[in-house]
Amino acid sequence: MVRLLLNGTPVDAPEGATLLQALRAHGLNVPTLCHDARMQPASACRLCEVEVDGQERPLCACATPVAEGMSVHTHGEALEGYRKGLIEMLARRYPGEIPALDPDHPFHRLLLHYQVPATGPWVPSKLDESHPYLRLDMNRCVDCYRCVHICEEVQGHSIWKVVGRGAEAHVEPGDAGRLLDSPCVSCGACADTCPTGAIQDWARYRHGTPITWTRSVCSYCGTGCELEIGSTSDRLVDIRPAQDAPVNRGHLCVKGRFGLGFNDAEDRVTSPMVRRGGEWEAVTWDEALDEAAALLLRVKEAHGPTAIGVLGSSRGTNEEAFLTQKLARVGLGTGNVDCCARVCHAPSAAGLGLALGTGAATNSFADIDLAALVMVVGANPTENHPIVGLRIKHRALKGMPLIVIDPRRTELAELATVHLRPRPGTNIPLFQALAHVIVNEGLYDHPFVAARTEGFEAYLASLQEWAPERAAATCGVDADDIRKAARLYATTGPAYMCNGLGVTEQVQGSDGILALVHLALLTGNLGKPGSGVNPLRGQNNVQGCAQMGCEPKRLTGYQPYDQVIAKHEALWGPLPPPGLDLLEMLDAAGEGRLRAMLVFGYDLYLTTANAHRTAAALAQLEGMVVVDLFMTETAKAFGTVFLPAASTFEKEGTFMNGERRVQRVRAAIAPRGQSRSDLDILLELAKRLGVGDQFQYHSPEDVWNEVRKLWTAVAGVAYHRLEHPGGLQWPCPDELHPGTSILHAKTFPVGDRAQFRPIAFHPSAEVVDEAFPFLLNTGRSLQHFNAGTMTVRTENTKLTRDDVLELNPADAAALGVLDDEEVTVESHHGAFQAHAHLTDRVRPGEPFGIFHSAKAFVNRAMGPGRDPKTHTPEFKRTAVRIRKMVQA
Amino acid sequence: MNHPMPPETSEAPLAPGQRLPRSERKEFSAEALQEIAAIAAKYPDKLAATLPALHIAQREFGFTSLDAMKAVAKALSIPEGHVFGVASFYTMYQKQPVGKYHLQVCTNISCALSGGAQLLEKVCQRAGVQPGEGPSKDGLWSVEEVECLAACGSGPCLQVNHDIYDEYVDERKLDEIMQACKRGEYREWAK
Repeated sequence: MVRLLLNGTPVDAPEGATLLQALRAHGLNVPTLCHDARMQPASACRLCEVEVDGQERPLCACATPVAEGMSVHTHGEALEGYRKGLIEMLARRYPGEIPALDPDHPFHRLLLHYQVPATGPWVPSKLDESHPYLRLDMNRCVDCYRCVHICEEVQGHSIWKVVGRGAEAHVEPGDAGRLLDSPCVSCGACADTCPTGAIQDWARYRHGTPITWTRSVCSYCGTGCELEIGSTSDRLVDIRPAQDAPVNRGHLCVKGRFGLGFNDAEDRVTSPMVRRGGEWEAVTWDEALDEAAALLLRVKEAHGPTAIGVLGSSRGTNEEAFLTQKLARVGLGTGNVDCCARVCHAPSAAGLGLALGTGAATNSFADIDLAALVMVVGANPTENHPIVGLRIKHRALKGMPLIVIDPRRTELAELATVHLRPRPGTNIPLFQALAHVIVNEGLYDHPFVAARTEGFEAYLASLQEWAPERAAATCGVDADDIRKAARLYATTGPAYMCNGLGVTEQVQGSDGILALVHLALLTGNLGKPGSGVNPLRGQNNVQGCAQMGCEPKRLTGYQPYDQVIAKHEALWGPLPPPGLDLLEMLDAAGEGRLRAMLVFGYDLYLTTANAHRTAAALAQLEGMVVVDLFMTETAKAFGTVFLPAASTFEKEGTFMNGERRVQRVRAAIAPRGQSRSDLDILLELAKRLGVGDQFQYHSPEDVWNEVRKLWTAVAGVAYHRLEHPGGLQWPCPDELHPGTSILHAKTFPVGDRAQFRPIAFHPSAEVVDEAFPFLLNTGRSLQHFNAGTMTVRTENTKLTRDDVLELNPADAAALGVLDDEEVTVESHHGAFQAHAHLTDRVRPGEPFGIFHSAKAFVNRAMGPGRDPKTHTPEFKRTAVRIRKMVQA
Repeated sequence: MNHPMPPETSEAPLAPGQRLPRSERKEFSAEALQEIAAIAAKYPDKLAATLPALHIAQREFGFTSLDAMKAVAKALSIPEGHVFGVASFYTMYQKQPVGKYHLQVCTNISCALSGGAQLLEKVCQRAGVQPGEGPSKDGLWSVEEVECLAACGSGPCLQVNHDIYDEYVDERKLDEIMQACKRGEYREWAK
């Protein structure tokens, strides 16, 4: 602490703080225009200048560090006159009519405060209304360059450019004319920081500044960004990032920041529906719930409880997921309960769980800032987890070595020190070859391997078949690059590793994760800051949903049956044995063993591989109860009862992000129409299934408190402790525990030693031949999200197409396909149509299908391949042929 | 990565990138990249190498085109916006093509007093192009009105490209200079 005098009053300020921070901490409001705490001080506007005794001239408070004994004067007559003069200069060319129209911008408040009239002209040519989310009126620009700096420093892009010199200098977007035509990623940071509204959200321009801001958690990917939902009495207006959130640090991506339009989409279903005579009919809640319960009870009666399957929603809260599995097990007596983790990171949970004992990320996103190296495997975080991707990107731009393993040249791959591009489906040889180099060159962490692992000898022997040269030939990469990457990873510690679905959605998914865990074990990259193996989870609460027990072979806390069944039965009574997972349920439905399903917020028909087979199986059901916001492809084709659910913006509870962080979700508005939260629906169903007495909860908190009893790792995560930014990361066994950001510091849950296991490579059955010469890979894009249910109902559709096939220009030339032309993609299993997007970021022969679109329905072409351990389908490798669409 | 829809026609004003003429070259040669890397290595911060890298770009690309700026940003791994801002600030980075001989005439106060404006007129007449118009039809000339050439005692002054310049330039001397250019006695632009 240092002591200084502020306008004669002695105060203490932390060392290293800026004068501006000290002033604001003590309620002294010095005006600023160019300052934003997320960025380096710019000292451009000069409004925060203050007089410091002993200094000849005033100093900018934003860029001056506090010092012992400093005596500061902030609002003397001369200073205030100087400030007014500065504002007058800006006001002279600021359009006169704007401040009164739109008073709630910092600069307009300054004009009012200093009683300065704006007298400049407004010209229409400086207006750009092209972008669906951001309205640009550069007449209002006061050249503070905050947009330029935030775009560079926070988003890592440089869309905004300062052009010209002197009085002519001004800010322009990109180099393509309109903002919409620039490579802008629409994160909205420039609008957040703009002090005049030169760049502002259309939502706020149209509806005014929201009256209330409700702090909650983003409902898109598993990063778990905290945000504030702006609303007026019953309207969602806008979203802004929470400035003090440890995960996103005052930033959001296009989905979280702008993707709220779905909530009021015209086709949102807000009335319960029942299908009668093939047609949907709006009914009362009682009718719909009775019908749903009757279906489930009838099937249970006739075919036994194992004829019912329940799917929890990874979009819902932890509390809802917990009640979903409880309803399945206690209310229906079936162990057939699963969630969409099955089709994404089940192998990560299985691989990590098997090797280390906890199937979740070992470290936290904050570790990216502590790592000496980052290795990104089969993930494209700058598009799919943008806030995590940015952390990595910023480090790489500052010179941190980066290894990217991805068949595509992603944004991070372009910054990578080494980019390994394996053919889809050849991860195991590549990972084993990396280990081969590390072991054979003696680069492994000898003390760590000796003290904390076992099975090294057998593992060592199993590695020998994958010398870099042999792996290089199988994977289509350079053997020297394998060596380079292995040496870099082994010798640059601590090394943070994150993985995406490029590892898991393979027929060797679980083994792939195991091989990655081995690399971390070999190099001692576990249990310490800046290291670890970290799956990047796809949905807001996919970690939570599986962790809450929506898992056929696990109970609450993803805990194995044998360990915790006694605890559960003591509370709930006798439980059914482990049941079927999603893929097994589909098999059973196809064979007539499964007769009814209860599906919460999950478009399984659209999102499961091999859609034709999924359809054939689901068509045999006697009935399906769908709880969702929209008539999804699943509901449209197979639903018999539809229960309208409340959205994230309309309910209370908690989400768990991909780094085990439990954070509070809060309702900003009332549910639309007759919609109800999943939690309400679950309680109503429980009553009708005759287990109402076991479902006596008065609030989400009540439900969570039961979770805390059944799973000791969250016993200390009480609701009242979740009020502060960032919530808590489990394990957190008691209410005094601060939470755990890094797992496995001393021991593993499996014991003192983690086990190395030999891994054999079983190649995929999908192989290219003359008839099907391309190897199709699939994945996501920045602007859209998973089944597209939400994002295709937002204006993100104006930013980008959702049905896209990335195709190498050489392939396109051979096929005679032009950019943006429609093509048909056919496999042995089915076909889909998409718009070709020619780009050399995919290699020849390896097109990439973006899977969000129900129009394209990419999963119709996916095959039956599955990871044998978790049954996760093989989304990442399908042999296909491509044809130009014939114009009708 | 964006997968944009086909562009709509826009009535919005053209942005810098579209206002500026494009260069044929899109990327640096390997030698130029080496040269830039060697320069960047001298500084603790890569941003510091922006100016010399832009000079190399101007030489390689013929003028400081948008692609040249992007190439500099890529070569130094620095934000494109920064390079664009710097390049648009300094006038000696030519943002449009210039002739083999870029004739620069000072019209600041001292030169003006000794006939700088008249000299500029004559230069334009003989070259057949106006300042800022780009190269003449034969590709030989371009003309620019510039700030002080640092010989205020001996104006009017004329500079050809970056390495030839003359004081007390009258019509006779101008003809001599232009003839010398035509005979190839002076180094061409960007060679």
